Amino acid sequence: MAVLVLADHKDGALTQPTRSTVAAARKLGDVHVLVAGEGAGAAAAAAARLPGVAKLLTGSEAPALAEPLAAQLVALAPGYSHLLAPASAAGRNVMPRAAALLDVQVLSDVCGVVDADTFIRPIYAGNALATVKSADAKKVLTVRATSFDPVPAEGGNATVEAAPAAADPGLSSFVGAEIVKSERPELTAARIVISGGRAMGSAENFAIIEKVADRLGAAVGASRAAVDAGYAANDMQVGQTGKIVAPELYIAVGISGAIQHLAGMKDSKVIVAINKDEEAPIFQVADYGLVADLFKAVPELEAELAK
Amino acid sequence: MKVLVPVKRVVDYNVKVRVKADGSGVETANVKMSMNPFDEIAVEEAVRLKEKGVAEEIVAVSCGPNAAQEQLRTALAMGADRGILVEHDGVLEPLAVAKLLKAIVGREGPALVILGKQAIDDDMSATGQMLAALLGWGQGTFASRVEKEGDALRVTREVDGGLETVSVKLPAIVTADLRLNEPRYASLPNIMKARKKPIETVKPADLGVDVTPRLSVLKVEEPAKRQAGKKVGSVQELVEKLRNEAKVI
Amino acid sequence: MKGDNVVDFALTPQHEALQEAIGRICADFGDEYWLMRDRQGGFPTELHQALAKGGWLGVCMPEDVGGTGLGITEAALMMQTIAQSGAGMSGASAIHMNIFGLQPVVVFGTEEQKQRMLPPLIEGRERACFAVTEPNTGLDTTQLKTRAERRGDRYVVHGQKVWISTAQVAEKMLLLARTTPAEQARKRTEGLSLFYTNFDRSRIEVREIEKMGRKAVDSNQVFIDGLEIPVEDRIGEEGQGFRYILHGMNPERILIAAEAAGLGHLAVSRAAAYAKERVVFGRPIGQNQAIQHPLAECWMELEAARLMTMNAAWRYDSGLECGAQANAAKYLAAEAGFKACQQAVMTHGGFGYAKEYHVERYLRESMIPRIAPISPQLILSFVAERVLGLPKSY
Ligand SMILES: Cc1cc2nc3c(=O)[nH]c(=O)nc-3n(C[C@H](O)[C@H](O)[C@H](O)COP(=O)(O)OP(=O)(O)OC[C@H]3O[C@@H](n4cnc5c(N)ncnc54)[C@H](O)[C@@H]3O)c2cc1C
Ligand SMILES: Cc1cc2nc3c(=O)[nH]c(=O)nc-3n(C[C@H](O)[C@H](O)[C@H](O)COP(=O)(O)OP(=O)(O)OC[C@H]3O[C@@H](n4cnc5c(N)ncnc54)[C@H](O)[C@@H]3O)c2cc1C
Ligand SMILES: Cc1cc2nc3c(=O)[nH]c(=O)nc-3n(C[C@H](O)[C@H](O)[C@H](O)COP(=O)(O)OP(=O)(O)OC[C@H]3O[C@@H](n4cnc5c(N)ncnc54)[C@H](O)[C@@H]3O)c2cc1C
Repeated sequence: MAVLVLADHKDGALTQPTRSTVAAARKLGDVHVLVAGEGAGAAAAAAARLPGVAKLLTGSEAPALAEPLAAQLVALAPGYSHLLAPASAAGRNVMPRAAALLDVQVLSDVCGVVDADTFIRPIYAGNALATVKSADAKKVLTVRATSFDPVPAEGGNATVEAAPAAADPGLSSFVGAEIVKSERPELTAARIVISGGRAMGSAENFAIIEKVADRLGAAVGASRAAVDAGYAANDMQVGQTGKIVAPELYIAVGISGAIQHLAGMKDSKVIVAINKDEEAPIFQVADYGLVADLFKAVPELEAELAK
Repeated sequence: MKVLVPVKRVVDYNVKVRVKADGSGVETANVKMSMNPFDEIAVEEAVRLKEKGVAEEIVAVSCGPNAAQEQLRTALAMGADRGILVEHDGVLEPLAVAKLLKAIVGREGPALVILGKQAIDDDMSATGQMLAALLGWGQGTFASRVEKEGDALRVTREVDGGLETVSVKLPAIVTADLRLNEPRYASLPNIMKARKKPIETVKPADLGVDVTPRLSVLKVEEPAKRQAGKKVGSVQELVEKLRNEAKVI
Repeated sequence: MKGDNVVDFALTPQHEALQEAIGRICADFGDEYWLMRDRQGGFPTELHQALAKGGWLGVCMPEDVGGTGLGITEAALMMQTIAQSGAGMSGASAIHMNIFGLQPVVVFGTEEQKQRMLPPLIEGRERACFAVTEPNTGLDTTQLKTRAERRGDRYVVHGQKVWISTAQVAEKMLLLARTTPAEQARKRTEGLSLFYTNFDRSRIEVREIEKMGRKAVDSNQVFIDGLEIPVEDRIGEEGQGFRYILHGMNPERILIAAEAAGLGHLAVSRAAAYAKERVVFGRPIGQNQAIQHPLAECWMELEAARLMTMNAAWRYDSGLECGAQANAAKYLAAEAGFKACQQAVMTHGGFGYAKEYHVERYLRESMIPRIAPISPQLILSFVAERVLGLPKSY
């Protein structure tokens, strides 16, 4: 039996997590993709070109709401062994609803496919990974995009069909949407932190770090030496006597890696160090070390991220 | 209207969980347990609705072991009026919880159920949506703002990259996101009053619900430890590695 | 197994709920807050207000004046939790007096006095200081010199008090003063009267004493020149003040013991966390028995002291005689708390001496429960005399 992927799309383009979800789906069978919601037409054209997609179904172009979309998935479900969506806000909104209508326990945020019934998913905020086997006849899952390399954008040629319309239960209606410009997150809650040390040389120079932070949606931190020198505010100090942080990505710029600093960031999942001294102790804890002058490397980093 | 607020007993937010050596799960013996933080936000929202005169009665429900009474007491101390414990010692998956809650909704007849958007133990983020499906109600998930407008709720939802507003007909399901409110601290007099508020205990069988799990956990392991670090030659290489190898940006 | 004849040391779910709730309030006041208070001084008004708002100041006040009517057991748990949260004595002392200091009013005050005096305290609108100690009499409280002379419907007070905590900020004062000259009193323990009255700064001069620690909660010299106190502000009978004050002493010992144990546990947990992280000689210092064992010892002594504290609290709440236990608890917890704080500094090596690591503050604060409200020597003398039946030595 084929598997069905519910696509996420924005401004008429498929999102990268959708391509990752297709990659996960290909491990399970022939892939069909359903594209629905505002701008679905343009996105459907793109989805039809994804390699490995056999069939493309287009749904209603009305703004996607969980209730009608779940009804549509349930109507299509008999033809599929698995229903997948990216574990995005949209996917997490609709897939559990569809699963319940099918009397199936949903599998959220799947990060590994073992076989058709067995999946790996993170629990306890990613501090543990559970391998679970589903006894349900049909599987409904959302997929953690970063765990699957996305399929290329081009290379396939799927047939396009309109999905049979499902009745809108009329339980909710769309009022409006607003894209919020993200403010810089709080240091201890941020997913990414970039910190500057004494090598920054001045408060003004912190601007180059802030630019990178804005690109990444990161919070900005500092070593105590940078704080003491007045380059950064007190509440930006990371370390044993400052804030303890454990983001997914920590970038230390011009920080030597004193033990008091390390105590505040060593539990970060991925650590990057940029330092011109290749013997700096920070490199001993860094996953990725770049020996370079920060005044050259940091602007380059910003430019590279902008690409 | 009556508001139902399900609350889950979970390992406390501040505990760093450890995977059991035999891979059967995480260590929960002698670990501090608390109310799921998103559920606290849900309780707070219900209490605010009551303070505004929108809600008349708040019923807190927990599905779980007998000790989950503690979390019900916490909800009562925050302002819920009474509690229902659906007592069950084994694993309860979101689908089973949704079925239990559906049965409770059938008995209580609330116009609104507010849940946390996610439990911080299994991280499923599913119970609210599943309950909405089983009841045939509309859902306003990941809510950062809720207002009553006639016989509907106007719910502002946190979606990827921004906010979305939907209008959901009552009766409805709302799931609470982090920014919906900041839960209050229970005051001492309210903690004392909570001890006297009633908690009713029922069993899944009393509700006629089969809670057999659909998933079997084959193993639980720690995520891969950090690899030995390496030097990269250029900024381009660094960004490439962060994107495709570490997958953090 | 639980049964009627089994001693139960477990906290009740209600106790756990109290601890949890108090802990949450305190969590809003982190290390940075206390470090700043310790550097700059200034009463921790925010904590006092947060606790008042949550109804915590009325924990063991009667329900008919707006309190919660719980026992000293719950008050002790609360004070331990506050100290242990990182607030130490800076936090605990900020409310200590308000929790049990007015017990003489609760027990001996008239209905009118209770309704007038207690609700503002519980609601956090007023703070009370406790004016007993005098520069020339020290621990020999029956010999207090400050005199209150009756003139018609009021008393006029002259004299000096010392070490009076929170006198910089208090609106009210519980004052023990002499109404009958010592030589005319029938007994040593008579002739003193107790007042709860406005802290009238036009007749009272307050000078802060610069001290070793706990800068946030001031302690002062208090000079009283012609303070007028209406008769309605006298608690109970004239001349019986010492007896009334004694009534609150055992509970106060229990509270200070709980605070000392909380401070000590705080120090030990910080030290253990540091010892796990700090690597010298290629391993965490906590892997050395020279670091582990003293910390383990501190923990055991703190727990023993805490159990004695809960024992004393339980006796008090059960209406049993608790003088020996309350004094023993205060002694054991103060000494164990001090030792734990000292060990925490030593565990941190040079960094323990830096303010940023907080343990040096704990060490400075840990002296307070040893000295006040009664010294360790006098506790030993008390136990020797009252428990062991030895001749009175003081
Ligand atoms: C009581 C106490 C508490 C402390 N608590 C903390 C704490 O909480 N947090 C904390 O961070 N520290 C703390 N410290 C200080 C700590 O010991 C270090 O002194 C501090 O972390 C050093 O900061 P740094 O790495 O920015 O400076 P440095 O150690 O001076 O390092 C600067 C680094 O920048 C590199 N560099 C220079 N120029 C460039 C360039 N152009 N491009 C690239 N790299 C360059 C250098 O090679 C060097 O490695 C504490 C110290 C004490 C005494
Ligand atoms: C920070 C702080 C806050 C305080 N807050 C208050 C407050 O709010 N209100 C208040 O009224 N008081 C307060 N006090 C005062 C405190 O209660 C007294 O300091 C304490 O009772 C000891 O009295 P003293 O200082 O006069 O010591 P002294 O009586 O002079 O004793 C000095 C030493 O001699 C020892 N000693 C005395 N007699 C004997 C004896 N017979 N045998 C053996 N040893 C003996 C004592 O044990 C002690 O070690 C506070 C004190 C401090 C340090
Ligand atoms: C006020 C002050 C002034 C100072 N002035 C100077 C100065 O002028 N010049 C200078 O160079 N330094 C100075 N120092 C630094 C001082 O010499 C160091 O603090 C001291 O050597 C301890 O080092 P550390 O703080 O890194 O402690 P750590 O080495 O981290 O030790 C921490 C604790 O672990 C214990 N420990 C470590 N290893 C073991 C083991 N194997 N077995 C058992 N226990 C162990 C230690 O005994 C200690 O209790 C000063 C320190 C202070 C506080």
